[in-house]
Amino acid sequence: MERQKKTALVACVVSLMLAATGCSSASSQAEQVGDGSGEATLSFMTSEPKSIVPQKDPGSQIGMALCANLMEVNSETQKLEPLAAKSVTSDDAQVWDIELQDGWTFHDGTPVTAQSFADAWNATATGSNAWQGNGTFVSFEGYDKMNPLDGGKAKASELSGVKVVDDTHMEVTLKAPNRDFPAILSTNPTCPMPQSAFDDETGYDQAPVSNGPYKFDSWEHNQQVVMEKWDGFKGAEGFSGGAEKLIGKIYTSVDPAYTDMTAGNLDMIRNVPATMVDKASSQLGEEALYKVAIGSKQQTLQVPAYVDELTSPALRQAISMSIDREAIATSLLKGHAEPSDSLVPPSLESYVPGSCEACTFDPKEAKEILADDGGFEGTLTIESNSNSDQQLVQAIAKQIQDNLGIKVQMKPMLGTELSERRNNQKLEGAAFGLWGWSYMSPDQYLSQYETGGDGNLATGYSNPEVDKLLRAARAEMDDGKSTELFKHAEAKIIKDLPAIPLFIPTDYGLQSKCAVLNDVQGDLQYYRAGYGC
Amino acid sequence: MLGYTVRRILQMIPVLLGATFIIYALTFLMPGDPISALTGERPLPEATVMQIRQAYHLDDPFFVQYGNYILGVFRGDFGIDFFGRPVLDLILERLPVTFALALTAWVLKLFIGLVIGVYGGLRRGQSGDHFALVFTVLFMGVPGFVIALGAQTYFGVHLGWVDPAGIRAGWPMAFILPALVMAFEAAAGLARLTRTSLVEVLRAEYLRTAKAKGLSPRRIIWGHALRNAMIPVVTYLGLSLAGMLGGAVIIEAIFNIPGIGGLMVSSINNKEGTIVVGIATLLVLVYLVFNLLVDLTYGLIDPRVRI
Repeated sequence: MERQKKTALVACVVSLMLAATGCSSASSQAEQVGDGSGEATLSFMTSEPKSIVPQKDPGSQIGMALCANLMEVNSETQKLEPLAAKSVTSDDAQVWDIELQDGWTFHDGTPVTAQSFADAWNATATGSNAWQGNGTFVSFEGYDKMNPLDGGKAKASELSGVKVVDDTHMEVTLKAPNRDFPAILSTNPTCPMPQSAFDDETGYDQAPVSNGPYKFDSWEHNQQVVMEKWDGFKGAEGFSGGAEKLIGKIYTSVDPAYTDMTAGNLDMIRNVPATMVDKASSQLGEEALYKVAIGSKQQTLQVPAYVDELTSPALRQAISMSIDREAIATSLLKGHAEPSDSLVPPSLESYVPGSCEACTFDPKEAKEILADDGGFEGTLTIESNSNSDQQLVQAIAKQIQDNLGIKVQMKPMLGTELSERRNNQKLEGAAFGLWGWSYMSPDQYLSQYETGGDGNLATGYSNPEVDKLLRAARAEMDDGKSTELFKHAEAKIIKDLPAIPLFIPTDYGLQSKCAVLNDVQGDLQYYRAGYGC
Repeated sequence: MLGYTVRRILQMIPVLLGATFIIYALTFLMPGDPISALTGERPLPEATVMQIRQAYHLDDPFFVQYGNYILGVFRGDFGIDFFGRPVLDLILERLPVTFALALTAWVLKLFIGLVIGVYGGLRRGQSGDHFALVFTVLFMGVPGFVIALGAQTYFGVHLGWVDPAGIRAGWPMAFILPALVMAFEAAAGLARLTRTSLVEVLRAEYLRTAKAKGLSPRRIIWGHALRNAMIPVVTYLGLSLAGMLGGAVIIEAIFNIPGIGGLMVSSINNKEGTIVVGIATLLVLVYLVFNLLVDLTYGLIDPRVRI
């Protein structure tokens, strides 16, 4: 025993000098988690929040815990259900009636009324406030007047499409019919705000009062944000989580967070990088790894319509067919991704397996197609964010180069530069893109290919027939008919390959022995985690 | 001496203005649009981007933006980040952390470096000196992040003596490990410098004179040799403290210490010009002040340098 210890020590010192990675003992560490008071406490990894007000940071996990939206996905049924609303209904998908639950309050006891929602929405839609949730209201009637595109003065201070009928009823009119409106109501920017938020805005920024399952307790900048379960929450269990106390521990990157987890100081990490997954399952054990069941993201090779050398659909097909997705997924990505063969992920109703015929690997035919098309002179550049997925882009570039016999050049750059080039349509070749949904709907993917749609600048793809089909699909209240229309639209788009489908990456979370992770329609939300100690 | 100090302080003003101008211009010229990068790959709607650009005057010409910024600085307003938080708050939140880490590391390094250096210098050529040489070469040769990661895994995770990441344990427990890593790394250079300097001074003629006068060995070493050997060391120490304040980025990242360095790096990545300039200006100021302090200390140690 004694000798074993000594050898271990020597081994540790050696590894300390050489590799500096060994010697993490994964044994019996999870027990330390918690603050010793016996209260069910769970901690999760976060970066220093830019803001914890849901309207100001649409992706904020803390915002999600603090706020109860009108609609939300119930993690038990995995369906979008009314939460702070009793019902959200419409006949034509354009004018929506919202009825609120009776007797709901904010954390401070003031009632949540239709006005609380209207006030918050108007403030968020006010362009000069420069809140990041602003874009959520772009489909509301009256948004354009509050956010003139020429940068001039706003002509209105309230959304004309939002009418408060009485304390528990409101009516929303959209610019165009959209069957996904209830899903929009499940996102952070549509949270209600109490009057006090407007009386003391700076105070609210630091200590927001909302209506969700967890209430704000404290925020020590750069260290932690603490939330506590709120007794007054009236939603069903599927809308909340198991922890009595939730602590967002602040890390500058995922590496120290992971180290802290191996030391037993952290319970949950989401968006675990693929490179960390295998290390984690061997160091922390299989049960620490949580695999998100539904793939909600897609990696594509965007081929801009405005780059003249790349407009030929045959060339795009040849490029797509020269990529061996299966091989990359199993070897480089170690199975942590699925090859993609459609412009939407397989979890969606409108997914048609193999709708992308050119997504099947066939280097011989790819070469023939390219030759028939007149070949390709010059260099194909692939622009990408230098901070992510460089090996993957490299593998793809190499396959295209080897299998098609054309010159391919990688052009990595900072994320800020890449998005600027995308949004100003200055890309010089193809670009590696990652897309995810805000809520589960084919529209979240396909609107990229609608003229002027969300994300359309990246490819600049425009096809009047597609635009028409998408508008019709959005306006159709019948699920089945709408799905058919979306399928139809995708079939049209895929012929032109404005973006070449590559992979559906698998999302992983890490959990300690006490945390039971839980996702809602592919989105891993910390506050929904159960407590298992 | 007072006149000299005042003159030096006045000289800082053009240097500071020049530095802010250059840094502001560089962040301005950097490719990329900060607004379009705010939300990652999913772009904000055009109207939203337009509104934010307007709210932050991003479409004004460079000189107008810089002018507004400098006017603000003179009023004590360092601007706000893209989420509306004052930049000064962001910096002031992190400054104490950086100071705590840098000072702790600096004091530890001072102690370790001087002890090894003086020991090696006095015992030149003996086995103790050789051991000190091997020790310092080892720490100079192994990359800092390797030592940092190793120490973090061993002392933080395996032994559990300290938290491996973050500063929730407060000073000194949260700072001791990263500070030690920084100290050992920097102490190597200090030890080498001290040893060489001491060896040279010990050969000087005035020491032979002192010995011939019959002074006690203790007096010779402490009163004459060390005092003279310290002159280059003080310069090095002063500037290295300034360097530690701004240059602990890697250690900060590994040990999850929310200091100035990390804020600087992320702000450069996100092209948040106002934060970059704010921090850079502060670091320039720190360098200038320490340079002045070093020059003033010379006079105290070496009577020949009168300023």
